[in-house]
Amino acid sequence: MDVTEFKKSMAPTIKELKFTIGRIKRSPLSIIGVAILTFYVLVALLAPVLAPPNPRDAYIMPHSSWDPIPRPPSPEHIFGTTYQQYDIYYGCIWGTRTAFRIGFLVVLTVLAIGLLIGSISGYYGGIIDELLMRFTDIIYAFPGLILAMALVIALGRGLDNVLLALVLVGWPTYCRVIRGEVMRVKQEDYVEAAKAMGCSDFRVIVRHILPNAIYPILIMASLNIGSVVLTAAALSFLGLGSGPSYADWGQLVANSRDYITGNYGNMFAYVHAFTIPSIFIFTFVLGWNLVGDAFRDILDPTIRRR
Amino acid sequence: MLFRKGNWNFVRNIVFVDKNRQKYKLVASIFSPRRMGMRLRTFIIRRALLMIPTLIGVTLLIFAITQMFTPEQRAASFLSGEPRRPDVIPRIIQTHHLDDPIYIQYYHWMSRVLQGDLGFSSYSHLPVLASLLQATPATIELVMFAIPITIIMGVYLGVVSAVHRDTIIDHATRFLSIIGWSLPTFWLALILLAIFYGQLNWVSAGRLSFEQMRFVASESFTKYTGIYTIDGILNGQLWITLDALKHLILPVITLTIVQIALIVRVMRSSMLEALGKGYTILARAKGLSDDQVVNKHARRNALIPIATLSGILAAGMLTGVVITETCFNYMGLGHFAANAAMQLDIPGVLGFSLFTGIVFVIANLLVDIIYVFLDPRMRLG
Amino acid sequence: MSKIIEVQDLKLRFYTYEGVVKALEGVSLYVKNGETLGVVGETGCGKSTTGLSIFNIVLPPGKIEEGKVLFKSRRGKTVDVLKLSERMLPWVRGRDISMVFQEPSSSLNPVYTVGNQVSEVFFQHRKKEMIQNVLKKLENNIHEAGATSLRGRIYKAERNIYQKMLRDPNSTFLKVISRIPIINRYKGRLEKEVRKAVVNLFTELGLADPERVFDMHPHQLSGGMQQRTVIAMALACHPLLLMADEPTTSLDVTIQAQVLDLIRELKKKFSSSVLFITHNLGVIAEMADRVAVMYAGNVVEVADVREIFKRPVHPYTKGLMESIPRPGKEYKTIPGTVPDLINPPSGCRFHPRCAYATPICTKVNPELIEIKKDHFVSCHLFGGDIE
Repeated sequence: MDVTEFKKSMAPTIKELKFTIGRIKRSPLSIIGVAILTFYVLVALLAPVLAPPNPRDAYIMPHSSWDPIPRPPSPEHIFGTTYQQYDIYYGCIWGTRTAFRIGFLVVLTVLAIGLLIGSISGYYGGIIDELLMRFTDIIYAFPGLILAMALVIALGRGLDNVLLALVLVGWPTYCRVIRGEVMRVKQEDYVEAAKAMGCSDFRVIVRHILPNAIYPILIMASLNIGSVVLTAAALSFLGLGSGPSYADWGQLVANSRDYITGNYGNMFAYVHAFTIPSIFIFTFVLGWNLVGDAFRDILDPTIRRR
Repeated sequence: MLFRKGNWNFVRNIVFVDKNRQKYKLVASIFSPRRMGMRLRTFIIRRALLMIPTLIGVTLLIFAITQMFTPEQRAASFLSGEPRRPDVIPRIIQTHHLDDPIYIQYYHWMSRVLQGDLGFSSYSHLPVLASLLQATPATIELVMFAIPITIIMGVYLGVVSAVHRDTIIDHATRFLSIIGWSLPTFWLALILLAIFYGQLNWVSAGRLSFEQMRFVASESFTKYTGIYTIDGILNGQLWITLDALKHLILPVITLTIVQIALIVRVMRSSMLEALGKGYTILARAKGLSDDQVVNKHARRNALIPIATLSGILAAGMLTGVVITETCFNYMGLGHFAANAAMQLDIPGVLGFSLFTGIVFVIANLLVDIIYVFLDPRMRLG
Repeated sequence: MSKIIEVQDLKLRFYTYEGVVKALEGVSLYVKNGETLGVVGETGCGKSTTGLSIFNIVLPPGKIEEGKVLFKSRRGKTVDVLKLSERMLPWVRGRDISMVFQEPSSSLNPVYTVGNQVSEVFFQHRKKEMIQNVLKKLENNIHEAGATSLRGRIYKAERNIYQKMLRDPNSTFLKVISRIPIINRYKGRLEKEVRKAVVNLFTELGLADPERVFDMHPHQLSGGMQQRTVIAMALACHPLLLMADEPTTSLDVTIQAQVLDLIRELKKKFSSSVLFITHNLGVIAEMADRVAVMYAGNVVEVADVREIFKRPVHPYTKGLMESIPRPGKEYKTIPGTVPDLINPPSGCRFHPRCAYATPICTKVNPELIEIKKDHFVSCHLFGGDIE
């Protein structure tokens, strides 16, 4: 009895899920995106196998000497080496893990903060809402990278400070969007009904409002992972990231900054040093952007059925 | 004969009858509120007043960041070189109240800022504000080409994408714009530089070539605006203008490629929405050609969300400018900020952030005003 | 009485993810010259889709599968609108056939003035006439100013431009000079002429202060005024057929009455025929000469308006008439709901709800047959299908 009832109550959910998967399968861009991300997940998981970790700290890149000139790809160093002979291959493989760490940590934190503050602000309104909106306006007044630069300068270098800065710069966007969605959903009839039935505020928010407000946020989050990684790479490029020996794609590019123009004869002498990590950054962000964009088309209820 | 009244009437009919009298009325209304623009002027004034708390908030935020440093570090920003005597630092802390409670510090800090003193930049060896103002024309030049080009191309591609929905054109446009958005700015800039400068030697880095640079610095050239393309025309030296344009091509392309996805995506979805609206069907029912329906009716409505987007676009441009100017050695605000950051020049970076924040808030005000011009429904509110 | 428009066996399908929606299944009807045909039916029965299909506007994902729409154009030729090329369609749309939609506030483009939007119709279809008016004025001006004076010469130049516009509207010369800032002021004359015509039209339609209304945006006007401007757009070219899709549903009742009066008056004045689509039987009773009743994509009954109300024949029509609430009478409804058009009932689409259904009703969709003069029914109870 219970099983069949459960199946019946889940039937519309399953139907929607099948529709979603069908849409994903039909859109070539989203297939590419999912493929890219799968590849990177595999690389990140298999990092210890693909590139034997440094005994002390896996995230510090090994280097055989302190020679500043990058060397092109060779049998021992598959992607070549960069400034001070850090192995690019090692840096790229373990940098995948770093990238996932940066993306997930920042976005999940920002999402949590945004959900908490945004739903309170949107649901209760009033003076709290006003104050919060003024505060987010102030942070919005700065372009993201610039405020992040100022924060990292103040906090000091290092990956943890970069993450903190990115979180502080990013939470207003989520807060705003969630607040907007909560305010929109708040006016729907089923919320009135739930309140009339005597549900506590917390229950109303969690069970009724958030599940309906969540779609734009998921889309935004998957797009945001890409831009967070890009911003972190830009900060590293400007010398504000983790130290030169840390396995991070942006850091690898920063390491080769002095060698971008090649040597006197050949502009492209050291192109591998900054191109290979950049390709990793590019494809990683591309994967997330494709998936996020496809999700936007698929999950947005207003254009879903066309 | 020309002065007879009848003739002037005729001239007025030919010259001033204009189908866009609405536009003229709106512009005139800002200055003479008695006509239909009364509400418009109050709107602008109100909006400008709302800007003030935000500006104060911006200063508070930067001030809060300065408080993350110790008083000694903050004192260092007053020095223009190495301290000559060991008691210079404590004296500075004394004079500028760097040890006092926060609200007193804020008061002193704000009064210095309002007088234009943002500290001394250890990177450029000049007062921060002076360095920033020196670098501003370059960035304005870059952005004044990049933003319109991005918007125009983005709108065009968005319209094409929406009209040919779900065809290969649509997919290709969206894919290419997503690629642009995913590219790390520094890599795109460096690759373009490597190809067009390193290999082909068509353009060079910086704002001007060596010879032009010398000419500009000499007596025979007056820098009216600091923007070389305009100054070249004003001085009658078109070769300077052409050279400046040649150096602008690659940075502008870099900025455009990265930012265009934003416009294409929004334009596409707002265009799709406009194409499904009632007035589009009615326009077709009136017998208007497809071209008129799309361009005149749908596109004009679809442009309205783009106005709000231009604020976000400007933010993205400034972010891109920091990296792009560094890569192309283009001496603008971004170049200053990036190098200041690389050398841990605290007053430089913080001064730049404050400067940018203030410019931004004012820019957003302008965006709001443009929005009202675009959407007649807003004019009554 | 000749038929101005005849729809023959129109089949339209919507191809959606959920399935193929068989929206119109062999719709046939005609409008006679000078009459008002009312099309009645519930929401979703295909009345609006029929209206749009008449001038070949099909919203994706729809496709017209079969059928003809025979239209007798002004020149007397009969054309099949569905076969007209994309180039020829603008000639029919807006000029010979025009349409008024349900919600005037969403039919009008919010960023352009109302006058601008009505002028579009003039520029599209009545441009030659307007240019000739301008030329006449210019001739007068030249005569007054003298052919050799400065003014005279400028007038002559303008006259040449306008003559060129008449002869060769797509010439590159015109395209070029219309972009040059001061020279393109010549367009002002034409615009003034069109403005005069539009203002006249507004006066005929009963809009107070038409000069001011011309420069207003749609959101500045009330619902009734907006609908009048939409009607003005539709009638600007004195069309042969005016289609009105629920034009009064979103308006107040008093305004409704005004707009209906207006349509009646203008129909007489411009001698158009009207195709009136609505779900409101009261409006039908007032406006229509003949009525076509539609259900689930089929036309089930067509007859004179008095016949439909007094002696309805089809079970669905009978149910409709009986469900009109009357004081003292018991409230009757038609049991069941409108069918899903992706999987419509086999045979006659009404048979699940029909009190008189017979076995053949589940198998074969009945044809529209003439049982009396000018009275058509689509039901197996008539026409000898049942023993």
